[in-house]
Amino acid sequence: MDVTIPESLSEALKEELFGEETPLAEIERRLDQYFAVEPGVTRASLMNLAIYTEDPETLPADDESLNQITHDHACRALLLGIVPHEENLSVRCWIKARCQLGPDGKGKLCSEQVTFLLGGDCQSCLTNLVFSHLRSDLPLVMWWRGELSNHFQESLYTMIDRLILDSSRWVDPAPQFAKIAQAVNARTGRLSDRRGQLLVHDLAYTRGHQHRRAVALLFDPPAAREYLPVIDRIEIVHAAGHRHTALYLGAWMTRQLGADLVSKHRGYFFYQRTGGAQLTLALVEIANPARSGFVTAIVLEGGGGRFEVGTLIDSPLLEIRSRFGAHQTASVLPGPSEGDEDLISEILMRGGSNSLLAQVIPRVTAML
Amino acid sequence: MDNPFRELLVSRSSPEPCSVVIFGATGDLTHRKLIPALYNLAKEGDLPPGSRVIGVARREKSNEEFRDELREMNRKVSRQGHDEALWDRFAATISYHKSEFRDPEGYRGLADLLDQQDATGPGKPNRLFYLASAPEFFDDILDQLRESGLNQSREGGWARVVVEKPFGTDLATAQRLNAVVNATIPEHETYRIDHYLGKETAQNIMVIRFANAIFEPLWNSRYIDHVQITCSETLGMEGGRGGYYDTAGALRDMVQNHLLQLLSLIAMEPPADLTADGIRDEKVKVIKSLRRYSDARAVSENVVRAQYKSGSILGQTVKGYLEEDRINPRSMTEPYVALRINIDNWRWEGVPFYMRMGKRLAKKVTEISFHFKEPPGVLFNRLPVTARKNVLVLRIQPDEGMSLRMLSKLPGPSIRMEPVKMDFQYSTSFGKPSPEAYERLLLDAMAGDATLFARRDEVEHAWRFIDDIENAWHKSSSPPPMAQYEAGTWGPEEADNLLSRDGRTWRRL
Repeated sequence: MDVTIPESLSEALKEELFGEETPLAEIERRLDQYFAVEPGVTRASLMNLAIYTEDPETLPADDESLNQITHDHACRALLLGIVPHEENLSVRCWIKARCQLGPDGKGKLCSEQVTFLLGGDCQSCLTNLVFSHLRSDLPLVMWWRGELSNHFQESLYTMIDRLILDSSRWVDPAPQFAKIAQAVNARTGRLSDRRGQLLVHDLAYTRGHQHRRAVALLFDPPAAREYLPVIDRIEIVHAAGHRHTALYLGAWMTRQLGADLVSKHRGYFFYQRTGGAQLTLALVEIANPARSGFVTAIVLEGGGGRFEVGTLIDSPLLEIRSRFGAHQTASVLPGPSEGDEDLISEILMRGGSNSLLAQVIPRVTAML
Repeated sequence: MDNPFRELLVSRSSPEPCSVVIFGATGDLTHRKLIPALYNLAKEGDLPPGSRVIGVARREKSNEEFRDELREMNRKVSRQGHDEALWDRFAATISYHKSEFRDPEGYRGLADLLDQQDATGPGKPNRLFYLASAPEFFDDILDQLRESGLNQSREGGWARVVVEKPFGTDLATAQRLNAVVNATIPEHETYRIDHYLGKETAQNIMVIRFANAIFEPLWNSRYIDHVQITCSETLGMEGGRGGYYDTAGALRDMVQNHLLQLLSLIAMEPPADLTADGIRDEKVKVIKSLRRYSDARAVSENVVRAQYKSGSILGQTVKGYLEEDRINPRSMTEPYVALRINIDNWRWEGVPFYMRMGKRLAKKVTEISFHFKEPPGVLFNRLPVTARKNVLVLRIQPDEGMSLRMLSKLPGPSIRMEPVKMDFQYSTSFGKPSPEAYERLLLDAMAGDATLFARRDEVEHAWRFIDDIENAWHKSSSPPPMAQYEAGTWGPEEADNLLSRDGRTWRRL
């Protein structure tokens, strides 16, 4: 069962980018063989990490993503490429080890990678492939590239412990968010070790992590917190293509301030706070921002106080400034990670339940 | 009102902006540890905005000179490297205040400086006084803080003090220091820093014990034969440290604080909750339960002290202790100590805890090993095999992690068994390097979380235990002898005998 290789991948295969081509049934044995003959090698694994794509042309880039992520997170990596429109059920696979010097400069520390290229209508075959090539007792993290297709079905997502996706790349987000909600509320798969709900990480939300930290820092001083009840205007300035991150930030801030959406109009969202006060959220998109970053400014105002998060010119740092009463402060903190791989690395490092995202998603869908 | 934006964003107490006032600002601790720790917190975005640092010391120095010195050292030692742009912003929050530690005028000037800074700061006038000076000045600094009124919290802010070890040199001096501290700052605002507790692996001890189901049921005298705590160093008295060390010795310098803290963490009962006092209540029960040595003979039977002779370490010939720089040639101070400790409580009845700490040993390592009892001598255990006991090791430094030794069948037609090891290493499992202990501890002090700091009663009970040994060594008519060992070895034969008398041996490291 041979899959038709897209022309764009032939060069990568010639250079053995994905390693040694291996018959499907031989994968585990050949990996064992490799590690058996290599002296001083540690076969390290903290998790199963799968990247799924229905655009096989991105596989070389996905391979590079795994290269970056496995540098910090030893894992059994699965690269799953689906060839669309293939008539016959077909599969090809490759194996390789990703090694780096151990922390003491001696020995090698290796992650292992299995790359699958699948063709045909292979819904159940995909699930079975994932099932049969997981390292046992370790969590399954899946980075789903692109839209959630009909391959995203219950038998698969109930196996996943952590699902990573990027809503900013979706053409039509509303039905995608509905699929996510369905997956989150599905009962745990019978073979899964996870307790509770599927953990979802949206990179569009994760990109705003440092901005959320910055906003939280602004209101750590007790005197600043006295202005929270009178905040009546929030403005978020974002670069083109990053509306989702801005939506998430707006949804998060208004939720934490206890404000409910009443109406919306052309980038303006009108909220009513507990107690009846009004709050306006404005999202301003700039095509070519003078400053770097996908969200270049956040301003919260009210009661004469002004609290700002901004990016510095030619610097990756975020700057926070506040002015309230007789107080003025300015400080910097690390800027957000830009690359998807860095964001995923942060997600894997932080772990946790990420439960706030699940509470924010309904607010974002209401803003769409 | 709580900060709603903190909800679910972090799972720890929030540090509050404050002025960190460091006494002893020109010293090594400030340059090598405290300022790089604060810089790294700023780099991570964990330092609360509006925080400031004031260095206090006796030398004449401008703000710029002080910052330049700190910058040079930060370039060399910062865990996360040195970013010039970030340093400039961080350094702008640092100022220098010249004052003698006994000079009331200097403290008035300090109070004025703090008041000026607080007037433009973002919030409450929070002040964290860090005693990083030589310990002989602690009393003076605390007295002057009280006399100048700087110890008083103002306008809803707080005033806290961080005290570096040594917390006294015996029980009497510790009690006196504690009395002075508590007369100045209340106990709940006092943070006695023990940097061992800020290490990731030390914090992990409680997680290993209480977040896993498989360890705690075995964590008692029914299954554990004995426990070993080892802290070995290859260093001797380089860099002029002999002057201080010869007045302290291994027992007071390391055992009284770091090692007894580790002991209390591994031996304590599960706390009722994870509050600072919930944990410290249980730790202090362990220290109170240490069986005290009744006389010099008991000390002689359970404690070995030793000095190293010349030898070689990593191919380098090194001097003996008595020939070291700033060491009294007739010194009776011990750079090595080994103890057999018993904990008289229900859980640990009959389980000896062997502890050893020494300079100029074969390698640098700090670890705790739990040696389990042998399984019943039937079935496989009738067969001859070495290393039959399971051993669980918690490695504190370096190579932080843990391992479990167990027996496994050798491949082949016959039943032959060999010990195998399951190993977990922080460095290979988690991509992110552990923060420095001082980073965590400074942040905790700013957040008012005293969990990883020693409480007054812990310190005083530890000194009670230590004083019995010191008195037997230095005040009894028949003091136990001072053993000797060759530098670069694993310590004196007498320390090996301490275990061999019980049918045990030190773990080979």
